[in-house]
Amino acid sequence: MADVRIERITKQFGQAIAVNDLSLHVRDHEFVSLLGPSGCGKTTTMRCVAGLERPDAGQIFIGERDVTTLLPRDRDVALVFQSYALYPHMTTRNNIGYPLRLRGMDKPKRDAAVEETAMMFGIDELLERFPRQLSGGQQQRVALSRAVVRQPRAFLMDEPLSNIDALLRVTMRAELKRLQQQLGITTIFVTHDQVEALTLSDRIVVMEFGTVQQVGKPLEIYRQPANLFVARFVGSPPMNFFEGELRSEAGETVFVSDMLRVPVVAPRHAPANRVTLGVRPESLTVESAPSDGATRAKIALLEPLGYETIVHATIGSDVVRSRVADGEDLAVDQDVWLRIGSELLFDTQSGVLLS
Amino acid sequence: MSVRSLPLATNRPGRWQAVQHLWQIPEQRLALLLLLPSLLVVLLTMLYPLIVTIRMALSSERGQFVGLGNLTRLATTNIFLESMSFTLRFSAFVVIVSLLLGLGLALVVNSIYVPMKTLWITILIIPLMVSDIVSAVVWRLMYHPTIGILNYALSLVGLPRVDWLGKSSTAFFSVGIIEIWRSAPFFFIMLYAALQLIPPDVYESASVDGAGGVRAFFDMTLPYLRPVMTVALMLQFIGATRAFGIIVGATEGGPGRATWTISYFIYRYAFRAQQMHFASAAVLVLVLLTIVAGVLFFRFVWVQRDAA
Amino acid sequence: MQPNASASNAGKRALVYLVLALALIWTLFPIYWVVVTSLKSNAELAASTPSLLPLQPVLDGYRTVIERGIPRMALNSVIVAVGTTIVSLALAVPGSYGLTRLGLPRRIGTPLALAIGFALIFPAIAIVVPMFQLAVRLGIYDQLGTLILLNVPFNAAFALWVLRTVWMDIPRNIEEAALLDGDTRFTAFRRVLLPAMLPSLIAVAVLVFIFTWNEFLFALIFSTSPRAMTLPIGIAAQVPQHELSWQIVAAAGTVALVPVVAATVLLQRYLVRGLTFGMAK
Repeated sequence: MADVRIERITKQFGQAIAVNDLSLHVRDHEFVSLLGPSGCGKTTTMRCVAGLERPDAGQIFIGERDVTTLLPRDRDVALVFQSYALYPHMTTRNNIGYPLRLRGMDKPKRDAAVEETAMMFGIDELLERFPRQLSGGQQQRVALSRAVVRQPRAFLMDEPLSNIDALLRVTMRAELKRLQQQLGITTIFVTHDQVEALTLSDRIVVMEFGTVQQVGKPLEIYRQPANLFVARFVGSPPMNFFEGELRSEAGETVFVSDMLRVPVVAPRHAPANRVTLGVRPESLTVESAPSDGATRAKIALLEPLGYETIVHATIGSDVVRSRVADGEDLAVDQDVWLRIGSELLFDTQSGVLLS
Repeated sequence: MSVRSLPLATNRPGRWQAVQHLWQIPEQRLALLLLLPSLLVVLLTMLYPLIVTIRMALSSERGQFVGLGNLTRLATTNIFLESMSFTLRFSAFVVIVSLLLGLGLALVVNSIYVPMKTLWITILIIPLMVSDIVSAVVWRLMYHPTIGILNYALSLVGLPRVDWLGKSSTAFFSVGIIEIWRSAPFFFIMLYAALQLIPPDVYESASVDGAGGVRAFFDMTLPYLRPVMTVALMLQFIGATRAFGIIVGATEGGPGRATWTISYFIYRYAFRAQQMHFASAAVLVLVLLTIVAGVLFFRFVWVQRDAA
Repeated sequence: MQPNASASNAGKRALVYLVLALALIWTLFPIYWVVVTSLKSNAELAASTPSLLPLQPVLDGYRTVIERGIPRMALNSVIVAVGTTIVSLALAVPGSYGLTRLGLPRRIGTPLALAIGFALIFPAIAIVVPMFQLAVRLGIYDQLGTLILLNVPFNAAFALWVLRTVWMDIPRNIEEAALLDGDTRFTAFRRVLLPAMLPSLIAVAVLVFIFTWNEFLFALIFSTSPRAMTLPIGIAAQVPQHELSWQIVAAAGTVALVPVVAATVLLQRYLVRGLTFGMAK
């Protein structure tokens, strides 16, 4: 096992910059997710670590070794592909055993290792089957077994859960987490699914435009998004935003927009220009009677999810979303009063978090 | 179980070492290196003869430069024009009938009433694998005036005997049928494969919309088959215009010169009449037509693949 | 189900079976007729009405065919077909890999693919005269090797064209997985990619073999003596001009048909895959 250090790598495809001067340190035993929309450079970054792409500039270290120019085979990392990439002409047994065969392990030892790993994933009954005879979830487990069996220095996973159905995805997610805790192998996990990133990771790297937007623990990312992009991307339903400015009134700082007046905690650096107020849907409480500091809104849409209800309400022309535990007495077109619990302030122009 | 301590086995020196080194050069250069032999072989086989042909076509049989003399002579040579006309009529006839037969068979074999589809496919594609010369021989035995079965069949129902390959009025169809026998299975197999790719829900939604039977065929099946049909048509048409072995085997161009194709014309003039320079002019015409066909063909195939 | 619906189903079923019966006769009867004729004697062939079965099957036709050196020609055909298949695939397998898998830019790859595709429809008759003169000048006329050399370009172009689509259908991830598992690009090609495409490779090999086994034009022009004559030439030479001894050519035709029909029956799945350019899996 080893840590993975990415130092200022850049990768261009023709005119398009996929990864732009990116640095990242994944510690030993750590599970790190690269999270971002498609085209943000997360997969390219991971492929550079794997050796499937050569960065135009920068260096990559696995452990103490500079692997920047090494072939994939010499890096001792395993990659689980979104499409599983099982060898179609090999049985499960031979698929899992292939990396061991390339290391010259003799057949009895290889079989023992394969069987042990297959047992761990509950696919020991499927060893003599070919990939085309397996379901998606089973293929997924074979791909994971093939990665695990050789005890690589690092795991790389490229959206490994996105090709299986929703129900199985939840099971596999739990299984991945258990596996990583059990084996403690350094893992880089590429995903566009924030739930996967939030539930699995020790740390999350949010990416956009080939650069790191924020690195942090899941709850940090959620609670203290470094900028507007992260704030917008993480969280479902997404955070509510209001544009306005800060005013000082009677020693208090107040956020003022066309529709809102909210007292806020003064940021350390007072912005010169306009600010954006961000409020998570769960920080927006819905009250059915007016009170001081609450803003009047009208319910436009209700999405009851059973354990909670998403309330879409309009303030003027803005639509805001709130999640409430019990929405039974709410109705569409009803007038309600919204109260902001906790909020974040961003510089509108630079997008940087102020509070 | 310590896997990491094991070295990668593929590093050992051995018989593949030289090739291994080769494969470590940069990707795109390797790509060209791997392609080079086949490209050289394929392109030289087209280009060298083409250059020689152009030179020959512009000179007389004794090697004197005659400019376009051979080509103008070609334009006034009746048998060349007749060969061209026969080739085009013959190819059109063969391709159209083969398409209809192949389509019909594909639909029939694809129907729910046919068990053991693999067996039927196996049987029906056999003629596709039979060579032109053997097909010609096979059918000459069918057509033979006395030992052939066809005339016997006609006599059973009281019809007069037909000299199938011996009269120019019937030779066109008789040779055409031989080529259809070999060519219809190609349409069958291509269209049958294409039918398998039509998603079944297309028919379900069609039947919900009230389109059944014939209507569903024209509105749903045919549009799905059209791209494959076009490719098969063009391939087989190009193939049919090259008919040579079948002519040598079935009629030797006869009766008279009634079944001369372009290829047969070139062969006769180059190797029987020993007028290779004159024949080269005809080759040039054929190559030009092929280029036209090629442009049409690849424009279609390429557009289709890019759209997919 | 309504009674008239099931009646129309019965009608459809009858129509389908009728078509199948006709197709069966149309496809197989000519072949059956060659085999039957090959077993007839001269006397039987002279009869005024042909019989559907050989009344007294004799092997005269086959005996004559052996006397006239057809087995040697069949052997020549095998040599040319095997040689062409091996050389064509040796060129086309790495060639198609290079064309599709090594990041060749489109502006280079597309024209190359088009050139290969054009070779596919290039008329064989167009190269015959210059190549004939060249072969005579080089002193390689009337040799089996020359026939292989002539057959290779067209079949290599065919193999390249089909294998190109085969490579494009093999996911790149499989190769990448092998690279990470410890393969080099070459061992990944040899141990993972080649085995993965083996069925298609067999399909192409069988088709190239059959195409060459059937080849007539080059064989007609580039061979004059039994040492280089192939089976199609031998068959064409057995067609009688006037006499009725058609059992000889029928026997020769049967010899040529046997491997082709056998290959079709045994390798049907592969053939269909190759013929439809991978459309049918």
